[in-house]
Amino acid sequence: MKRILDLTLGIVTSIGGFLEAGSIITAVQAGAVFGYKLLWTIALGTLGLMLLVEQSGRLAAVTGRTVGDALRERFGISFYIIPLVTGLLVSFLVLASEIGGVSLALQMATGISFQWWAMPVAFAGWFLLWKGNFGIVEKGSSLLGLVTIVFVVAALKLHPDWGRVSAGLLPTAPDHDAARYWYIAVSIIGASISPYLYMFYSSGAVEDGWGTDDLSTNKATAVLGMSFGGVLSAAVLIIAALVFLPRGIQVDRYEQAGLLLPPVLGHTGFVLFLASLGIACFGATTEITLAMAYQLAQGFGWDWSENAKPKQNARFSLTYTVTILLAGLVMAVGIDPLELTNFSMMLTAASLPVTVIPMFVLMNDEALVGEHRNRWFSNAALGALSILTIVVLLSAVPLQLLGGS
Amino acid sequence: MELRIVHDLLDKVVLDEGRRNIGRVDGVVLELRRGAAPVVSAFEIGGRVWARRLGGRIGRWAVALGARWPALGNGVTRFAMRDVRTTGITVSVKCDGRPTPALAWENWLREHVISRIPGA
Repeated sequence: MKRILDLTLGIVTSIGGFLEAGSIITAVQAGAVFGYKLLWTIALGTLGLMLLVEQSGRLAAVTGRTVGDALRERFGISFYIIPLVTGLLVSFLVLASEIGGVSLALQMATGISFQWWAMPVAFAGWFLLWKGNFGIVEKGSSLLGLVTIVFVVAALKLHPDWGRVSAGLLPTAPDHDAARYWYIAVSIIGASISPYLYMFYSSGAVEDGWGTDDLSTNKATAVLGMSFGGVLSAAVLIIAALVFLPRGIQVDRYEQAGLLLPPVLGHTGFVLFLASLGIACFGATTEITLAMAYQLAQGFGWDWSENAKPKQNARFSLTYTVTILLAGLVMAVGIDPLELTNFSMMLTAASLPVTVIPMFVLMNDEALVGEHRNRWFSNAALGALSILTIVVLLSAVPLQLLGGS
Repeated sequence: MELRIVHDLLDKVVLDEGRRNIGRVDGVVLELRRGAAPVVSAFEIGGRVWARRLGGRIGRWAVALGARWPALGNGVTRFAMRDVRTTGITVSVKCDGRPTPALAWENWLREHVISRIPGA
């Protein structure tokens, strides 16, 4: 009974925690300009994330090591420094854009500029990390995040043409604005497969003391949780395709995204959009901050745990404190949240090879994962994903220059 | 017992007798003996030790940074191999890690920064 409850909670949290600033904004932009045509990128990104979440969870359950631990232990400091530095840099920008997302939701609700909200939001996130424990951070905001299901409700109310929706799941070349099309495609991949997600997930498995009996929970959470999560992103894209595309609204300001739900659900739609954006981004804010502190602490062998009192792990708690406040400061000086979100999704996509490719070695190391090492299917899928991440890396710079604005 | 230095020792987490993480094995010390095979005599923990391993320009830069501001990198903590037990995943030492330079920053921050913030 407890197992079923844990399983349900795990799946529900991954659904409620799936959407964040990047996935919402990129899906809205995709639908507004290209209709259903880019749905396949959400499917592809979600499959990639599913794969990495399952493997990093399996690694943690079998060995008690997080992805960060295993990367340093297997490849040494001279390699680990690369995913560490790129990971921290990219996550920091994503973190700032999540704080921007919450601040903009508050701006739309109150009329007070997001710049004024940035530091209070960062402080609230810090307070939650300081006083709360891992369960509160992970489950609390994810359960509230279930409000994002409103996107599925709205998409269904619009009665999309399912034939055309399923056609969008197959990759096609664009018939106009090719640079913009591929730019958004790569951003969606970055928004779906964020390294902080599986760093956080594998650390969470260690915080919760997972063992080999949790492998089935891990698989179910990865497959079901991520699929339903992907459905939420797809729903956002579908609504944008039906609400923005016919009206010719191309989202170049964050506030325009607030017009997504009112045509379907009226004023309640506006309120629910703000709640969804605010809660989803706030949840991501706390998770990314923790993921960054985890990555640093694991890399250098500090004690770390969100379940311990802050003073028990002084360097770990100082890391998340400084990180979240600095990221708040970036937003407070008035960087455009939409541009930062787009840019950081692109950077996330470009950073994928340094963590995805080493997973091959980790998940096939018999000394590490023993009988739970990858079978041919996982290896083939991871291989395909690695090739995809390299293609994405190579195309990221030209696309940023051509399709970025 | 056979120990593979890179696979079983280097970069592993070091635990003290109180099961505290005190760092990672950042470097290994070999003792060269005339007329006999070298032995692994100790391992080290410290920013300067791993920075040297980065090699190249970044490594030199990191080492120089540590030399310029010694307060940045901890001092080096050295453990003799005879006090060590290793599982191949973690390395345990038979001593209290708290007074070692490896935890100097942790202790200083706890006392002077973190404990002063309400709710710590």
